[in-house]
Amino acid sequence: MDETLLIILLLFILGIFSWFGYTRMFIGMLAQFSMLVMAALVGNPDWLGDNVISIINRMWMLFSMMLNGGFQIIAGGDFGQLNEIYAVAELQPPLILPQNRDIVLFIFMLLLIVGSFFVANKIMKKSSRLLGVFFGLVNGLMVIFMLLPVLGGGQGILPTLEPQTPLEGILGIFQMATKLLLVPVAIMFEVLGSWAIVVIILAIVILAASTARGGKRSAAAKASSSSSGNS
Amino acid sequence: MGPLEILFLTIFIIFILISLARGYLRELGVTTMIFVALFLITEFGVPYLPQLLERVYDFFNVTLTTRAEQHWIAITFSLLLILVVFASYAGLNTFAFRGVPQKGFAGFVIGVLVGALNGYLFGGTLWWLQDITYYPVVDLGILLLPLTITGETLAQYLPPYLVPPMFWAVMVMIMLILRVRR
Repeated sequence: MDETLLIILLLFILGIFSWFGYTRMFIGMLAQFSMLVMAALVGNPDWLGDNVISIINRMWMLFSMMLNGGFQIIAGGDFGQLNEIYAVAELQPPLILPQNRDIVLFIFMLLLIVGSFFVANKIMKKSSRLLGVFFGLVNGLMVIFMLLPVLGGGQGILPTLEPQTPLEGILGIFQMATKLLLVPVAIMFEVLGSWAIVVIILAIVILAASTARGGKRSAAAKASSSSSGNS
Repeated sequence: MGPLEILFLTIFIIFILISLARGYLRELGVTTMIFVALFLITEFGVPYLPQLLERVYDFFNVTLTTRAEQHWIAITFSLLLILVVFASYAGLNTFAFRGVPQKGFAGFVIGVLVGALNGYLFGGTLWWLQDITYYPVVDLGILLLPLTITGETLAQYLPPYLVPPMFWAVMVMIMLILRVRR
């Protein structure tokens, strides 16, 4: 896919996530964030993925041990025979074969991502909407960062397609955020030329001036009167 | 000394931190003063100072070299801008906006934006003064040329390069209208 088109698509996805953050508010987004962190850790074999696979395979081995006479041995109290059953179970192929590892981890990651939306809906509490939007954007970036390489995109957008450590993953998300957030500014400069700076300056000034609440006195006058009151 | 863009970035970050500490309504007063300084420097200062310098040098029967002229322009207007900003911070709060700033995350974001704007205007103008005068600081051994690729790219986006001088006058009017509107 053309990189510009991909960036526009990603910005659209981020827009959806920020809207989701606005409606689900901060607490809901925080819950989703924790689920997404878990998804990122589980989805990568080097982080938690291999441990998860290993735990599932061991659970499966234990289960097959129980089905193949384990219950009878425990009920009969003859624990010496457990070693024999264990040796037999160990020879059987694991539930998740090494060649299926990646696809299974991807499915787990996908389930956790989908689950995170349900969790966000469930834990929707009245809290800051603005922080909700912020965490919505963070969550959107995380989902893009996790899914884009798997779906075969990301060259030129993601700094590294295979982060070796979680820290590299976090760095990658920061770099991607910087790039994606600078794109609107770049597009604005492309369309408006140097007048884009006029729009940006006006937007900041008007936004800041219009959000001041109440009060007839200036912030400076208040500060000076409070300091004289203290003295 | 390191690349110029690092100095620019440092100024940028310091202004953001100051804005967060002082509150963005006070910072808007500083923004107004920077707009005034920018208008004076770009509309009158830079075009007319060389003529004035020539007359003064002629009066003393001394030839004004191009490099000396560049030094004069850079140092005079850099000091003027620094003085204006210093005065804005050191008690001249006449232009501070009224009211109570937003609290919480919204206040933080607006504080960062206003601080970033002030940092860009201040740092960008100081850089611009160096750029139009072919970097007189090099003669003082403070900076080594050539600029890095990032520095050259950033130098294209310095505030006085992007908009005409009259824009700063318009901005001063807008700021005054916004201030008295409430």
